[in-house]
Amino acid sequence: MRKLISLITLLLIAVVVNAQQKKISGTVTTKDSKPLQGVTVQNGNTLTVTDAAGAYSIEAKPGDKIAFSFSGMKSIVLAVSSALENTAVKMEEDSQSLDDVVVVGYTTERKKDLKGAVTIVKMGDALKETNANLVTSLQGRVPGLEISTDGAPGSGVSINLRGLGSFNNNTPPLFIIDGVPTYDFNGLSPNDIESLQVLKDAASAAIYGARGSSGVIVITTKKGKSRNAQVSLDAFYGTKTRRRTLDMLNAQQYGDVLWQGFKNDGVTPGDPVYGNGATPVIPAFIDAPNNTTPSANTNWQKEVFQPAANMAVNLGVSKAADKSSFYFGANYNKEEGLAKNTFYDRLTLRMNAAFKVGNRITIGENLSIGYLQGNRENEGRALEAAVIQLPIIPLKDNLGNWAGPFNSLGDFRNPLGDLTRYKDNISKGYRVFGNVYTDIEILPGLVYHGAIAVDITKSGLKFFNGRYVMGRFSSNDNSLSQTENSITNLTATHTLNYSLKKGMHDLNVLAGYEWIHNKSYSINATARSFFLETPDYQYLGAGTPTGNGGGGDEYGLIGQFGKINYGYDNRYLFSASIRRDGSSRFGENNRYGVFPALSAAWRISDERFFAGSKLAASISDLKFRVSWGQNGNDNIRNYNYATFFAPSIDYANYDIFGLNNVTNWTNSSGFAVSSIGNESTKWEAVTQTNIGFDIGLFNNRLYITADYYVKKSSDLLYQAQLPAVVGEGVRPFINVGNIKNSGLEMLISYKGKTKGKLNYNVDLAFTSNNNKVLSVGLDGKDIQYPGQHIIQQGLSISEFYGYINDGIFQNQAEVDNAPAQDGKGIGRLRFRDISGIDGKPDGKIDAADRTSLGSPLAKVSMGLNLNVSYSNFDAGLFFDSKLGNKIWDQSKIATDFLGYTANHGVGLLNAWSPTNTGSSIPALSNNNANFDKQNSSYFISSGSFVRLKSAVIGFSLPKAILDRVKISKLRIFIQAQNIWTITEFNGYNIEPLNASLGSLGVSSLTDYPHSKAITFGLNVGF
Amino acid sequence: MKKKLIIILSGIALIIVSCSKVLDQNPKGALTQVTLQNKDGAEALVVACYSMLSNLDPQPAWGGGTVGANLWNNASLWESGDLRSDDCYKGGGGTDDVSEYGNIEIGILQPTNAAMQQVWKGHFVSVSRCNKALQLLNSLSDGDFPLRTRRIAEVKVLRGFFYMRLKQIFRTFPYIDETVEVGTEGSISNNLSEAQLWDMIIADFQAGIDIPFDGQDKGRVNKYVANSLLVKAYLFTNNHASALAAANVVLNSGTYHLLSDIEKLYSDPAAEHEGENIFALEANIGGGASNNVKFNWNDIWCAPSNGPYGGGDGFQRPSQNLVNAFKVDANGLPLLDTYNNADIGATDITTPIDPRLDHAIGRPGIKWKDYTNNPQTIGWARSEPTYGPYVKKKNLIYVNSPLRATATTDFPWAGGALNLPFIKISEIMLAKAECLVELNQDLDGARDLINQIRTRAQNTPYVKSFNNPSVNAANYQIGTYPAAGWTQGYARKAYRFEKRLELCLEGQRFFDLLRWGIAKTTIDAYHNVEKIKRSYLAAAAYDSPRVDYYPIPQVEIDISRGVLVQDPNY
Repeated sequence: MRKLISLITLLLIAVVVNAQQKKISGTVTTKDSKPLQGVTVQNGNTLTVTDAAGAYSIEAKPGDKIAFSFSGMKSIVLAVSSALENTAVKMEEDSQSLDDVVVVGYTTERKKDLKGAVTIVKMGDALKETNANLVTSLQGRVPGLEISTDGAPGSGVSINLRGLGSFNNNTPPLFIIDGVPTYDFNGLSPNDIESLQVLKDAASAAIYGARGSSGVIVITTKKGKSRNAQVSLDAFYGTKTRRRTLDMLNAQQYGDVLWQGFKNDGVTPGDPVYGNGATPVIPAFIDAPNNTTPSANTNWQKEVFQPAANMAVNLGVSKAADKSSFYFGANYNKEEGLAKNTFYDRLTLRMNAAFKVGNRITIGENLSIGYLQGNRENEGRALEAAVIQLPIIPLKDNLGNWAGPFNSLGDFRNPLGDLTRYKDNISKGYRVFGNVYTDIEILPGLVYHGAIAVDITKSGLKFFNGRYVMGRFSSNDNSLSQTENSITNLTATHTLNYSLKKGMHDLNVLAGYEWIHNKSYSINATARSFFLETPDYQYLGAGTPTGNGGGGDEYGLIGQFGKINYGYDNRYLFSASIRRDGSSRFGENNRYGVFPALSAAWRISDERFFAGSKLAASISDLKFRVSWGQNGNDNIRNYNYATFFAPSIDYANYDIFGLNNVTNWTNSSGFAVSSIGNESTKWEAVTQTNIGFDIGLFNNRLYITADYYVKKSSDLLYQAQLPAVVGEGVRPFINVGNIKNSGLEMLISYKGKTKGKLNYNVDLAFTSNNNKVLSVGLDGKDIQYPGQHIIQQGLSISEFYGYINDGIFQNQAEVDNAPAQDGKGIGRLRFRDISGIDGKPDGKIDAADRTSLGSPLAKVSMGLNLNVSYSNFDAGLFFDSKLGNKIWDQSKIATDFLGYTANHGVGLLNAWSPTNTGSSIPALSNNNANFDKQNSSYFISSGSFVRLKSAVIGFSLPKAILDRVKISKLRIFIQAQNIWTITEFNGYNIEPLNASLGSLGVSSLTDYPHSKAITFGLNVGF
Repeated sequence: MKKKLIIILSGIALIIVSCSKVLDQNPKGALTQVTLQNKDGAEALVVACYSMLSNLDPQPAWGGGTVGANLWNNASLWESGDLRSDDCYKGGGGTDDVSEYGNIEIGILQPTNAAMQQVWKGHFVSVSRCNKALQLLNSLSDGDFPLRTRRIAEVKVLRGFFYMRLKQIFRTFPYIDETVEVGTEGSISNNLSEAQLWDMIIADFQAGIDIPFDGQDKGRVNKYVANSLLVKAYLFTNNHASALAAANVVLNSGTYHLLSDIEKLYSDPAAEHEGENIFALEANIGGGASNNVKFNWNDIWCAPSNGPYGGGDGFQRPSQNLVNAFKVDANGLPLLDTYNNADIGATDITTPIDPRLDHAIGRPGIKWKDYTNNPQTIGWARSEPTYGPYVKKKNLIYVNSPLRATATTDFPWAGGALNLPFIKISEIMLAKAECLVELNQDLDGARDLINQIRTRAQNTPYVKSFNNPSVNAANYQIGTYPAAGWTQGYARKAYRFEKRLELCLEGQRFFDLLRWGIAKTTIDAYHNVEKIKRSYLAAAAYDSPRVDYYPIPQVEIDISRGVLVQDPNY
């Protein structure tokens, strides 16, 4: 195979032909004769860009067609005649940039020729927001793309395209960055992006085969365009604050509710700290008899959280010449966390360059180097402790140590103490991502493209845990653990692309081959008992070694693919593609999957009968699209096919000799099953049909793209729930179930202009999705999670599951008349008897009474962008909204119930009592005899919201002033984020990350909720 | 020149081998069944079976989690064997701290209780390891592995041990042995009768009655372990004659004897192979932090909080009823019927008591083992208002032992190399006494066995006053049972009471009450009195026969798709 390819390449290279050429030059301007810089001027594979004066120069021969294209302008094609030498071109504004060329599946297409569902994101708009994270800036702009983020520094993100169609919903879309496939978009600066396309339907994504089922996001980074060096500088600085603070009890209130709880349980109140009196008494010290830790009334949220600064600086430099172009980008981004001492830093450098060697060969590279560091260690626990640590515990004791719990004061650590103690435990990593490629025009229209991509990530963490005292937690010893991880991803891509334009016919044929190899390893080591704790001493060799570990992983994928595009007179457009992929994750007999796709479009607006009709006056563009295709998913663990045993000092060894202190376990090392394999597991398949239309009205001022899709996922890969009798070992992924997603997506944009200088755009992204489980589990009926979710035939995926809570028992008669329920009583939650073994109410509350309690999935989500510019001012508002989803407010366990020793919400002061029967919070109780906290609708709340996510106002300095200082652009802006939300939900985190089906829509205290932010920024161009 | 450049650069694009080898990937750092098909592999799988004794919570192997992060499987079975009896309270940070145990204590056994689920899971993983080891051993020849037959016997004894614990806890469960094809375990129903299950368990123990005892590999089971387990299994099935025969094998071997110092027995790793323990969890502190799993995790749950070990979770707290049981009369004999009529005060050092009380149970004001800073304080008892002033003391390592996992007050606190005994010679002596009494065969022989145990307690060094090492810490009195009045009925009360005193808090009491047929009466009586002292017990009830056994975990019923049938009492 390899030899053959080499041979063919050499043959192709030999066919390098020269032809008679002449130079054509001229200028490109707007209608009102303003020079246009950066216009792409293309003659076949020769490409150049206009400079600041709009000037260009390109080689051509008579009969060639030179194309002029520029984002936001209608393209112009110029036929070269022998007379043509100096040509001025005037370009007209195009509201919808239909002639923009976009990258879709190894080839490029004009936006107007798209047959599938592809959303093109205008990065310029997205960048008006000050999001340092690429994906965050896509939020609400792409119908069908649901993005959830959290407020963590270097935000956590979950992305989902067109509904949950897999049990592995943590499979992100496949990102194709300059042709290189990856799931990891970390370290990519949004400012380096030239264009971004989201391929949503199967036909568009099928060419990416095995990995396209979650959709594909194609990203092209910036290239040099202009003959004059272009420099842009963008910077912002802002502050984030917590959006919501939970109102928690103070030290006295905590004692009061505790006492009331004891009394309600018929138990004599008493507590080692609050005493045994009739009322709780706050003692002077909480650590009797030592008396070094005074009692306090600490507001932990106030102590732990801070207004967090965040900033970014981006520099972009680009330049193009006749036969070369380059782009250099530098980006520095620093985000502080809301929790003290947490932060995230990112520095990325990018260098893209391309050269023409002769007339037919282009050689180029895209390379980015990212350096990432951050301290997010322990933050989950610190976030939780910040809310529910007991207020009676002070920050520090009288000896200067961090204070912590004593006696009955629970198990939560001092969150500020840990955040401070661990502040220098910073994880660091770098990533080198890029490719080298060559394009060779073998014959006119026939182009070979070959690329090798590397994606190398190295990351590590040195975690030092010093000696400390923190209440009843303390350590007289210290330890250092160090971890190093390495991931190397190699991708080789070869494609041959033949395009032919003849008369009305437009043909493009592609054949390709892709080879992906991923290798990773990790090393970790621990040492303890360090003599000193200074940073200079924190090296493993300086301590007593206690353990080493490490592991490795490998994955391979090979794909072969082909695609045919045919267009007739821009009116009839067809496309067919097929891909065959092999993945190392499946057993030998199920390794390969084949993924076909078909699509077609009809541009009715170009038909003669249409042009002659009345409609043509208002409808400037109308196209119908239909597509069908299949994708796969192999995103399961490696070696899923194999059962294997692993040695583990942790769980398989035994001191068989009875020696008490064995350090060399060689003779008593055990092996136990670490993984159960399944050889018959095969690809998860997604079959999707898409119909849609694009319509442009009023000279394309109003443009609507609408799609309806039906997406069926079958042979879903699911980590089997095996009974305990099968024994241990990570459960294999098996194929079970079918899920259907169907939905409607619309992108409506309107570009308006008043007679004055006011321009305005309105963009609405509308998504509605209907998810339905057709069959699931080994018997096709259901899968239950140990948590609060169920996947059941006929419901949507992963609905909440539990008892229906019918309020609170108000009196003894209600209790007596209610069905049998363990621990029922006045003031306790009352659960509904809905079924017994025969499906009818049976007079007792048991497992059969659990039922679906609603879906965490939104029925409808929307994003609305309003942009206005007037003279030198611009303003933007961005609303987003989710409707119809439910949230499981897990934090109620802490805020609404006594029990596990931790602080509670102030709502408990108003809990149910015989004299306060209106309360929705059940009577205080220290025992859980009634299982009030079991999964029930008590924890469910509507998750619908409408939110003003961002508002921005900018001012650009007038050109007259700028000209004097030789600056082409200077804009300053101020932006506010997350400032206004309408919702019924009053919990902590309205937007839980969809990390897994078992935690879908669960808001918990360990979440990092959204923050409000105010940001100032600057955009400068030279 | 130009062409050369082109060729070189194009070559770069092709340098990667485009070859389908990349699809053949094998697991890293792991072994397949085939690579284990030899002597060393067999030994490794056998060791893995033993390791389940110390680590019934195989969390890491289930993907995610650290051993110790989830301590819900106690090698001592105190949550199933003591918590449901009159011996102990849950303890910990309050009634809601591990409410799963709280519910077990007050008799609410819901099939969704996660703690019960862990017991089921941990034991079936143990059984699965045994079956995998047996399958491998069966596939080898004696030539491949000369110790093969012996290892098979060892593994069967271990499997019997795990199944017997399951049987004590669950009325019914599926029985899977090495003949069940891997992958089809889930299709085996729980349709065997209780008697059939016991037959399987006994057969596994019988497989071990010839394993030589040669003093090597002290952590392995041998024929006396097999016989001791047979004694237990026969007692559970009321087969006193067979139990007696098996007990005689152990007692007549001359291999085991009572230690002279009870405190060392309870605290000193150096004493654990000196003759009293027949079978124990072989704890170890070697290997540093990552090997913490090898020590006895029970010690972390149940060590006093804020006490000599620094931390400790303060679970498994002795009941007032149990403390009262140590009261003695003028002859140093227990108050078999009236012991609970009045309480020993928390700091009472004048009422005559059995000296074993202050070895087994920590009381405020009393010296703690080898701890010299101060005597026990009330603060050591976590949630004292709820769970009273007493803490567990037996089977917790000496504070100053070099074999504690940490020499400081750091985590893992009381974790250390002290073995956790599963069977001691004292239990076999009492079992023999029980057989003799129930068979009405040799009542004097039974009295003699009980008196041997009392005599040891009489002669052991007593706990001394913290401030004055020359005087006893309390008024210790203990005597032996006289021949007079030693009827079968009296002897029955005596052996039952003695077992409680000698083996309290070792995960046995509830199962004994159940097989003696007095669980309901004993526990109801206990709740009636104890709830006055510990008000949270007002909610407690004993709904027999429903709660005699745990229900099959709901999640297992759900996953089994009708293969498993819930215990009809639920």
